[in-house]
Amino acid sequence: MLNILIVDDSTIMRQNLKRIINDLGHNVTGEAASGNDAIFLAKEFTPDLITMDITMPEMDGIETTKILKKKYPDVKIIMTTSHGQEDMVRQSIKNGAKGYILKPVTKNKIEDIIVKLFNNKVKHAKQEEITREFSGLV
Amino acid sequence: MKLFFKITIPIGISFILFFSLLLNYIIVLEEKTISEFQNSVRTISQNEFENRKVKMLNMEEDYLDFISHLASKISFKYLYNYNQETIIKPLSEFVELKSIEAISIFDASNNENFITLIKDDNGAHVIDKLPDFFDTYKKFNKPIFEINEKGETETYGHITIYYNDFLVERKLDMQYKKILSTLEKSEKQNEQAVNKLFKNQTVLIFVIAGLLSIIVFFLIQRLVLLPLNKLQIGLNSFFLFLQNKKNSTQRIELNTSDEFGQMATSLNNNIVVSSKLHEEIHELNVNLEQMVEEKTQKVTTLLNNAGQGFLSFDNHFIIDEEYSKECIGIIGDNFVGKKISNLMFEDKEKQEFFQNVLLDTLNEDDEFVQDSLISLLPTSISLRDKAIEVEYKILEDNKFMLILTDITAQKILEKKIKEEQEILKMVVSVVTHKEIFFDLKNDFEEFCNEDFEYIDFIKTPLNNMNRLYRMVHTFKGTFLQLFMNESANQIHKIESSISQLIKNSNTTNEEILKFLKDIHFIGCIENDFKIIKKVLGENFINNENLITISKESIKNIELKIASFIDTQKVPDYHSRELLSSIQQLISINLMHMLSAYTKMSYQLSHKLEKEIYEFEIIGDDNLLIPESFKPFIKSLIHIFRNSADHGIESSQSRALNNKDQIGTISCNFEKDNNVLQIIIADDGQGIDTEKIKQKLLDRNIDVNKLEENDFFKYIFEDNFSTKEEITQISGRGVGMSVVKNELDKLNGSYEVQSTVNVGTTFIFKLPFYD
Repeated sequence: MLNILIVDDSTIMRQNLKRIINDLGHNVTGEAASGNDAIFLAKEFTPDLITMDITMPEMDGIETTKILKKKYPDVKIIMTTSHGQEDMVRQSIKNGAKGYILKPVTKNKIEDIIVKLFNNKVKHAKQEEITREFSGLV
Repeated sequence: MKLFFKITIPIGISFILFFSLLLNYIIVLEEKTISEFQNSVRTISQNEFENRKVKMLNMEEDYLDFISHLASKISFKYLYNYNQETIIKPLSEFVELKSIEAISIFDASNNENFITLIKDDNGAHVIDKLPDFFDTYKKFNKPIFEINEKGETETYGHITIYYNDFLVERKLDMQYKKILSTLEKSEKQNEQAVNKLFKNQTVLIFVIAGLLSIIVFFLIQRLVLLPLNKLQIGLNSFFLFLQNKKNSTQRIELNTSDEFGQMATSLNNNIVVSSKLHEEIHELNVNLEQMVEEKTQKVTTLLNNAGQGFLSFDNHFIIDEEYSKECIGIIGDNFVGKKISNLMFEDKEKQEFFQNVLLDTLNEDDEFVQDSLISLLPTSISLRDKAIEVEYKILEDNKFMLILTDITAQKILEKKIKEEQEILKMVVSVVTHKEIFFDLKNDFEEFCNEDFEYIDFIKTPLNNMNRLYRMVHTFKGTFLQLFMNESANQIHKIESSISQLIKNSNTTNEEILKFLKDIHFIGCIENDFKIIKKVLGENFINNENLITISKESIKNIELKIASFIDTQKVPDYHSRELLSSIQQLISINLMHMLSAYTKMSYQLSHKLEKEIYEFEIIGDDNLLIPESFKPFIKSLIHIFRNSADHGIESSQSRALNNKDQIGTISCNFEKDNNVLQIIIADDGQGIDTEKIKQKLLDRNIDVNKLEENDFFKYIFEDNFSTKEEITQISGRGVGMSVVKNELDKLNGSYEVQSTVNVGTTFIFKLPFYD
C-alpha cells in the first residue's frame, strides 16, 4: 500500500483522484489545493507518490515539483495534465517528475502508472537475482 | 638471450672476482716468502763477511807480527855490527811488502834511532824522522835481542813496523760491496721471475675463468635456454593458432627428462586438448557467423518488406546510412545525413520540442521517465500528404530509432468507414426515433416556410434575435441528436452568424428579416434527407404515420452493418449496437429495446462531461411485447435523456453536495398480474417543484390548490421545460409530452417520485394481457 499525496487546485479532481486511489487500495495521506500546501503536507506525511496538477494558481506544478524534489529527492511525482501541455510536462520531468497522466484521470491510468513505477523495482530486483544465479551456474 | 645475460654474466664476473682474490693472496704470500729469503741471505752474508773480516785482520796481524819478528832477527846482526849501510837493502824488501808503510829501528845501546825506512814509489828510502801522521798508524814493536850462552836474553834495541790496516779493510769492503751487488742482482732477477710468474698466473686465471664461464654458458644454453626457447616457440605457435593467425599448431619437441621436459609434455597434452577445443569453437564460430549473417540478411529482408520504415539518427538528429527501403517511400530520396527533425516537422517550435525531448531522454537513466518523455512526442504526423504513424526507440550510443508506418490508406479507410457509420447511425436513429425525426422535420419545414413570422416587429431586435438564436440552437441540437451531422453543421454556421448579429447592437428588425431571407434554410438539411430517402425510400419520408419500410431495406442495412463488423479486426461496438437496433425493428423484445438506452445514456452523460456508472436493464430477458407498445417504449428515450441531462448533476456540484461524483441511472421492468411496470430512476438533483410553481404562476395557475405530486404532471405537458437554458440535448421539452401521449394510447398510468438532491423515479404501469 502506497502513501499518496494529491495536489490539485480543483476539489472535484482531488475527490475523483482520492476515490480512485482508495479503490486501488492505496492510502491518500493528504490533499493539497496549492503548491505551498503540498510542500507543507509532504513534510508532514512523507508520501511515496505525489500526483501534481500542472496548472495551479500562484505556484504551478512545475515549480512545486522542483522545490519538492530538492527537499525530498526520493519522492516520486506524477503530473496530471491535459492535451497541449506537452512542453510543460517536459519541464516538469526535467525538474524531477517521473511521468504524467493525461486527464481525464481514470482508474486504469492510475493503476498502470503505479504498477510501472513501483512494481518495476521488484521486477528488476528479481531479474538481477536470476541473472546472478544463472551466472553462478555457468 | 636475456636469460643468458642474466645468468652467464654474473657467473663470469663472480669467477673473475674469486680468482683475482685467490691470485692476490698467492702473490702476497710469494712476495712475503721471497723477501724473507732475501733478508736471511743478506744477514748470513753480512755475518760471514764480518767473521771473515775479523779473521783476515787477525791473519794480517799475525803476518805482520811474523814479519816484524823476522825483521828484528835480521836486524840484530846489522845492529850489533852497527852496519847502517848494509841493513838498508834487506830492510827495504820488508818495507816494500804490502801494508807496511815504514820501518824504524831503535838502537837501545846508543839510545838513538838507528835507521828509518819509509815506503815510496821506487821501493823505500831512508828518512831521518817519520812524519807526524805516522803516529795514527798501527805499529808492531819487536825487541831486537840475542840469547847468550847462558841463555839470557840480551836486548840491543827494537824494531817498529808501521802498517796501514785500512787497506785490508778497504779490500774487504770492496769484496763485501761486490757480494752485495751480486745479491742485489740476484734479488732483481728474483723479482723479475716473480713478476713473470704473476703475469702468467693472471693470464691463467683469466683463462680458467673464461673457460668456466663458457662451460656454464654452454650448460645454461643446453639445459635452460634451449628448452625455454623450444617452449616459447611451441607456445607462440599455439597462441598464434588460438588467435587464428595460423592454421595448425606444433608439438613442443622437447624430450628431456628434466623439469622442462615434464613441462613440455604436460603443455603438449594441453595443447592437443585445447587445439581440439579451439578447432571445435572455431567451427562453431564459423557456423555462428554464417547463421548471424543469414539472420542479418533475413532481418534486413524482413525490415525491407515489413512495410515499415526503420531509420536511426544520432544525438545531432542526423540520419544514419542504414535504413529500411520503406523509408524512401515515406520520406523521399536522399535523406541520409539530413536532420530528421526538419524532415518531420515544418514548425520550428515542434522541431525544437522534438529535439529537446529526445535530448532529455539521454540524460535520464530511468526507463519509466524515458518512456514518459517519449510519449510526449507525436505518434502520428503528416509527411508529404501521407499519414505516418511514428514509434520512437532509444538505442545505445546516444542514438535513436524511428519506426515509420504509412497509415494513409488505413486512415482513408477509417474515414470512409466513419462516414458510412455516421450515415448508418443517422439512418438508424431516424428510423428508431421516427417521432422525433418527423417532429423535427415538420418543425423545421414550418420554420422555413413561415416567412419568418416569428420576427415580431413590436418586440426589440434583440428580443427577436435571442428568440431566433434559441430556435436555431434547438434545431441544431435535435439534428445532432439524430446524428444528422451534416445538417447540424450547416445550422451551426447560421447560428454563428446570428450570434455575430447579436453582438452588433445597431441591428434593426428589417435587417434581421433581410438576413433570414438570404439564407437557404432548406438547403441545410437537403444532403441528409437525400441520404435518408436513398436508404429508406421515398415512402418513409412522405408517410409520417404509416411506416412502410420494406423488409428488404431493413435486411440491407443489417447486412451492411454486419459486413462492417466482419471487415474490422477490432470489435466495433458502434456497429454492433447499430445491428441490435436494426434487429429490434423486426423482433420486439422489451429487454432488447430498453438496452439500447443504457449505452445512449452513458454516452450522453459523457458528452455533457458528467459521469455515470454503466448500468444494465434489470428484467426478464425473454419478455416479448406487442407491436402496439413500441411507440411508448421508444418514447422512453426522453426519460433517459432527461435523467442524464437534467437529473444527473455535474460531478463538481455532486461533490459539493457530498454525493458520489459518479451518478447512477437505473431501469428495471416486471410483468405481474397483467400489468407491465417499468421503473426508471436516477440519483440526480430531483425535480425542483419551486421552479414548476414559478412556471405555473407565470401561466396564472393557482398553485396553492395543488398537491406536491400534482406538480409533476405538468412536466408531461407540451412545451413545458423548467430548464431556463434550452440545451441541445433536451430540445424544447417535447419529450415528456410524447411519453405522456404514448402512455395514454395504451391506457397506462405513471407515478413520479422526486426529492431535491436525492433523485427522481418514474414508474410507468401498462395493462398487459397475454
